[in-house]
Amino acid sequence: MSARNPIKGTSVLLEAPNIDTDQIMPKQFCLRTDRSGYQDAVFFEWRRSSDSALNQPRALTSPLLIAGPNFGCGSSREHAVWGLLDFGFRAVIAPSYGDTFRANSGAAGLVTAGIATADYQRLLAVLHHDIDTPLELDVAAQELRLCTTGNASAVSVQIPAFHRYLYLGGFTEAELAAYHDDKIREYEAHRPAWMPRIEID
Amino acid sequence: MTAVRLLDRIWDSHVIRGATPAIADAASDELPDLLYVDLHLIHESTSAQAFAMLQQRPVAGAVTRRSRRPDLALATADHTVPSGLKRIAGAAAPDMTGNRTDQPLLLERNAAEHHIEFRGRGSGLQGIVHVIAPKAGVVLPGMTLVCGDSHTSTLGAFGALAIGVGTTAVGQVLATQTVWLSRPKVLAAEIAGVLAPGVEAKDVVLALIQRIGVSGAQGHAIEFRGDAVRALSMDARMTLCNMAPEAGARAGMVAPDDVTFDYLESREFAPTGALWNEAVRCWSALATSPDAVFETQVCIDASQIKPMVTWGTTPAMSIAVDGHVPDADSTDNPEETAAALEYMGLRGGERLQDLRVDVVFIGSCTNSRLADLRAAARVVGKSKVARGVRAVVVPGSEKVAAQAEREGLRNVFESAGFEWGMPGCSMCVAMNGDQVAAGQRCASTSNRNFRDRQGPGVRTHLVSASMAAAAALTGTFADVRQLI
Repeated sequence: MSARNPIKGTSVLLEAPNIDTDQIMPKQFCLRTDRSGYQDAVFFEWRRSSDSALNQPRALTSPLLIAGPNFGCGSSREHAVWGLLDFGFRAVIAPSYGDTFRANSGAAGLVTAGIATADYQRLLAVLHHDIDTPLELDVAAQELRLCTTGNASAVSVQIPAFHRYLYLGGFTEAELAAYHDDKIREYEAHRPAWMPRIEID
Repeated sequence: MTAVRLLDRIWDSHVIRGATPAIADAASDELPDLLYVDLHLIHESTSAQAFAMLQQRPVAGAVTRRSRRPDLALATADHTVPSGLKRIAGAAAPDMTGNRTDQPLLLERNAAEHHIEFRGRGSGLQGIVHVIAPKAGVVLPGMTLVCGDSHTSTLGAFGALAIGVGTTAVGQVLATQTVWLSRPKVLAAEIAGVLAPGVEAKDVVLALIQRIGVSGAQGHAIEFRGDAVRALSMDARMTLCNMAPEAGARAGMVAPDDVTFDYLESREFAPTGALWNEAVRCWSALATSPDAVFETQVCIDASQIKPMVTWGTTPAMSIAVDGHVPDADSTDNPEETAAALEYMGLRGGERLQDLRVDVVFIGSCTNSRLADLRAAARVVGKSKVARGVRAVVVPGSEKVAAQAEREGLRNVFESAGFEWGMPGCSMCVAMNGDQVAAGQRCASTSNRNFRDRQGPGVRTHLVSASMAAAAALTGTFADVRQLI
């Protein structure tokens, strides 16, 4: 039990499959050079529609985003991850993810939990019945708990081991790499001589 | 000797041994490897925050506030640079919501501060990063390279492991010259036989994506194989690998061969003399061994591939040019199809050749190389752009532009009524203000037909360079096979 885990609260549901990072973070916001402040930019075009789930009051306090398969496919822009974090999401739960988006999320501290299709369908049924169902994502135990009235149930989810380690420990990928500097140097000493070097004066 | 794939050979020779994270409750095959990065390509739109990481959080121990290996990095500006094209009437004004910085200028400063080579506008060497790097001979077989751009996969065409990464990873590469990656599975895309005239690498990769879907290669690298791939030029192989991410793969690859070596020999950064001979010996041993096994295999008969056109909002939603747009109910996901048809302003059963095209864009890291411009110019010949069609060509780099001018290609395009832009990503990512108007239909040689990609409400149809030229001349999706 820590401040970071479990992640408790309600959720926002975006059921469409193949939501690409151009939807999550339209290109014009990638003209920025900051790493934060993207809460107004995330899903910018989708939020023009007043009935978007992202415009419901609940969205402002929900730490969990439930999404359809292949969430975050397309462009490698990490701005998509920053936008979801800035909006207040701490984790996404989806049947599958774009590979680069998932890697970016792990590096930037957004948890991406994979959920089996059958469990995803059950989760949808629960949320369609009551969208305000409190949820609890236990990152360490890889478990999603559904706190329906008088009846708690749990399903297992998959969070890559490395991402769990980074998230729970509060580590960055760069510092874990830098820790191995001696081994990096050792590798460097034996690179092929034909590898290009781009020297400037 | 065990059978090994191209991917494994490169992977195994780049793992920093002993750097596996010590995570007690994880199986070792679940953990990523720390890989050394031989080449770091940098562009302006995903690097500013990475350079800032060096300042804000100097990492413990050996890492300083400096870029660790500036001699293994190359930078240019492509995503946001102006093309000089006239604005399209009705196109959304570029939305500069928030703090807008001159990203090319900022990158030029960051590069200078960190002693990284920057190839900016007017240097004669600027262009789309995935176009300039191979032309400089800096992308070599057997190397690992990363860039903060998904289409880095393009450069796997050289038999390199080329992977797009996010900005945090870009920062780590600047600081440590390494990246954490999990070894992907390999999907063998076997393209057997011979392509028909008028059918290009773009059609091959669109046909593959249609077959396996936008997540069909998730968790995989795609190795493109077979006679049809061997017969392709390097420019065409780059088009194949470019779109691997549209099938869900982070990397596309082609084993290096004489076509690769001929392309590389005597380029700016390619090895010379004895080193060249040594390199070719190494590169010749990279190919996947004949008895290797792949986690996933897809075989496509090249002779059956026709020119392809996307009709929907993912790159898998495509049909042959002579086909009909599907009915929502005939597809696996009727809701998704119906939504795509609505966005695209199409009805199920419609023929592509009955649609009117408003804009034609020839460019992007997919199809802006010399081979693409030559193919498109061959179709254009002495014909004119159809009335009411706005047609533009944006060459991939200043070198491509100069060579196209020398060959008379620019003249062919401009005489026909095409506009000629300055090199960059232009209307593919539409970050520089080159946007299409809402509701307009654009035949585009780019790689993504996502909603709002080329501007809010824009209807993008992905096609090859030849098909784009045919669309410009006819104002519709004409079958280029009947025009050549």
